[in-house]
Amino acid sequence: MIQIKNLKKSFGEGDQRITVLEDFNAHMEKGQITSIIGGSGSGKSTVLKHLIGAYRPDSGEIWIDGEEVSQFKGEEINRIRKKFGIMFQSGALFNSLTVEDNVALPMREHTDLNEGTILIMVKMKLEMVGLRGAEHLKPAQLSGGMIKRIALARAIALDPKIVFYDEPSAGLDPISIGVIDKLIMDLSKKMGITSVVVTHEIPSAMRISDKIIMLFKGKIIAEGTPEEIRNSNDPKVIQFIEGSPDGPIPFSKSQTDYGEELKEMSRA
Amino acid sequence: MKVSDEVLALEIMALNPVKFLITPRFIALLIMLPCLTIMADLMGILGGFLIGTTTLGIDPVTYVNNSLDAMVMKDVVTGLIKSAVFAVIIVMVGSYMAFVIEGGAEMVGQNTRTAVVVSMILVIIADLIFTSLFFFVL
Repeated sequence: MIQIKNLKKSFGEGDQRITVLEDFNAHMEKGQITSIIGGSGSGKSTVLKHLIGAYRPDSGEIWIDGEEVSQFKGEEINRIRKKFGIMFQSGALFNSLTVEDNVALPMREHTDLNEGTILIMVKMKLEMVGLRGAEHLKPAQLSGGMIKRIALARAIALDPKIVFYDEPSAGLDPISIGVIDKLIMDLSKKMGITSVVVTHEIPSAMRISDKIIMLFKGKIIAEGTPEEIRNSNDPKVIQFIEGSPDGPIPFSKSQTDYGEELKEMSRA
Repeated sequence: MKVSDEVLALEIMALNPVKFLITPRFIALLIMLPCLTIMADLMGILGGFLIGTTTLGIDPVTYVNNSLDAMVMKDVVTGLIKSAVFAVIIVMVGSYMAFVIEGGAEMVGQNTRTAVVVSMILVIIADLIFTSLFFFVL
């Protein structure tokens, strides 16, 4: 369904140039849930932004549904974008619209359905995420977990083949995380949706994924089923799963030597 | 809107953010700014009337007659044309600054300030150009 080949991306100019992704290869199969995990700044969001066409790769290919999309623009990219839905970390609901209008927006714009049918569809989508009855609320009246569920309802409004999830469980309580996890699994299994989840929530990724890709500083350091990841011997993978503050991924992010810096300051 | 991913959300839904976010504001301001101008014009005349009749002892009827005599249609029309031009400038600058935003809440404040300053300067410049145009050409 989705295939990424030798994806490379760097930001900045000259000496400031930082390589964010290096030779990223991945294959996300139809109807399966693939999670991309990694710490902050590991490049996982960058992968997602490439998939949705917000970034253009420096080199490499992205195949979605049998088409190489990385160089698409204008109408072509809009055609591809109608095949997928995305749930943003912040939900990205339109604050001025009610829940109903938010979910109905893609249908109103991209289909010829009449208003009555659209409202029925909206109700069905809201029932799927368990929030039927919230139609007339504004996003500001919703809790964090509800916003994400509405965002998910909007993402699946046009019955996409692919749904991308950007940090679906960030900032939620354990029960809400459980709800979102269940929704992601239900959608994939019942509707055959290909899901790509970018997350740093390890327990949740372990529960829902068919395949996990672990990134560290723009490189894949582990790839496989949750079971394979759990049994990995790589110290970096173990540190990430156990959440140890220090290990091969260092605690201190500082570039300079601490003692040197203090000496420098006392001299001045 | 850009800071909280809503613009990106529109793009990903294959919807044109310009159509959704700028067009309504453009139409709104294009209608409302001339309306505001008319209101301001009326308020100006009313203010002059009040001061003139209460403190300067001008006869109310004379004030109204003389005001209407002194005012020609060109004054009103040029004012309205200018207000439409200002509307275009304000929407363009405001929307541009909203769309080029990078970063968080801090940049929202900074870009808002820049938008206000830039559109104010451009409005003054446009005012100069159009006033001289109307004065010398028409």
